[in-house]
Amino acid sequence: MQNIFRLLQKFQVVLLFLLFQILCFILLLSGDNQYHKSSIASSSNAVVGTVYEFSNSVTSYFHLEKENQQLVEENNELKKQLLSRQIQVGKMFVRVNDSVFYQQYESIPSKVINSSISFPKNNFITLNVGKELSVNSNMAVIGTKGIVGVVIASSNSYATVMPVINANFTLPVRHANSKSFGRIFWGEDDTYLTATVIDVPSNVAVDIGDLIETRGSDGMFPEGIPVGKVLSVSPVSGETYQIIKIGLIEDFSAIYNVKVIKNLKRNEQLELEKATQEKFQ
Amino acid sequence: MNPITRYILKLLFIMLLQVIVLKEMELGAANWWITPFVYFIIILDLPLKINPLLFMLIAFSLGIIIDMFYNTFGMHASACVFLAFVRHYFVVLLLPRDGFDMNTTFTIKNVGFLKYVFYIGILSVLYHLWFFIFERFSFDYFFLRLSQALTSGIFAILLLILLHLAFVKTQKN
Repeated sequence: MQNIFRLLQKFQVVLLFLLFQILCFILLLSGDNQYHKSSIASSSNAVVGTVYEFSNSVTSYFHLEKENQQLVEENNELKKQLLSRQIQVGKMFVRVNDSVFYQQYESIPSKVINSSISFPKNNFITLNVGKELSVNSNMAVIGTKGIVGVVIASSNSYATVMPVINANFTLPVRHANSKSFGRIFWGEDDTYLTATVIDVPSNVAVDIGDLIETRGSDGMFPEGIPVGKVLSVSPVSGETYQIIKIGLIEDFSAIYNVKVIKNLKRNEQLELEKATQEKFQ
Repeated sequence: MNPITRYILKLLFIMLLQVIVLKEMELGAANWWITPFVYFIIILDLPLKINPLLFMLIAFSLGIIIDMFYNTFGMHASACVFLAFVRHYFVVLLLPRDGFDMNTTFTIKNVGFLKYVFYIGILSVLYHLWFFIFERFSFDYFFLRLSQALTSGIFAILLLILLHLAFVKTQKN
């Protein structure tokens, strides 16, 4: 007992200090000062938060196995969704030239499963998309670099394309620099690398290496798709147009990934043009 | 003059100076750096050999009185108790090893000017530091509080020396 008193006496100043500080603290809190009250509340929250965080960092290890199991299940679920999503993407048209107000073209990616580049036979290309994916005739086909051809027939899951390298193929094209238009066809002296453009007026200066692109007036191709580069220009005696030989941009000997383009406004354009023509006949 | 009467007179004078003059003092932008408190000299002037309980009680009540004037709810009381606590241990370091009468007070006459200024300087800065930190109730911006305490403490020392000189002069006259 005496030892306790001696100890108390030894530390009496410290004890008194603490006692009086506690008294001051009580005074501080009893007063009408919101600052210190909120300050103490927030710091006590910080203390509680720190303790809670620490305990959580310890206990979280015990739940790891359960968490892992959940993650694996979630992963499986997501993977399933991803697989079905991939198929769906292939089935849906991907939109091109999209805007809120006006959407003219839709495109669907596809693969070439059969093609030929023989001469002078009429060449065809077969694609792995068909009516199931709403691919119909008179749709444009574009390769990775330039135009490929036009769909001429489609079954449920396949479509055949008449490429540029077909004697029956013809398409309005234009000289990219001057915008003067002409027609492209596959002439008798063309190989799978070349094609011929006629109907460009002879007063239009066409240089070697100029770009020939689609005109878009047929309602199948969007305008401005590259077709080929000018190889040679030769005037025709007695005619107002010049014959332009072009080298095709798309390599038909190594064609694989193509896109089928659907013009949503094609019927509208054709009907209007037909009605206008009938009016003047 | 009786030392106790003199002490009480000084107490009244310093307290009135604190709550009437220094409290209303407007220093403009410097107010942020200088918040002078000089009344704690009353605690430091108490005899060295004093009962710790009495010492702390006096300090505490002095702080409470100042708190009432300043509307600070125990902040000055806390700083005063802290000051008393520090002085109890600090003063021993400054005293000569022998031949010092513990019943007297720590004054310029007894210990010399430099030691006295050191004594009130350290305690004044500590007082202000404790007060500023207790006022904000956080250790954020500690070095800002420390510099505020330093400027305020130094200002308080200058003020106290001036007061001391004035008192000594009048006594001699």
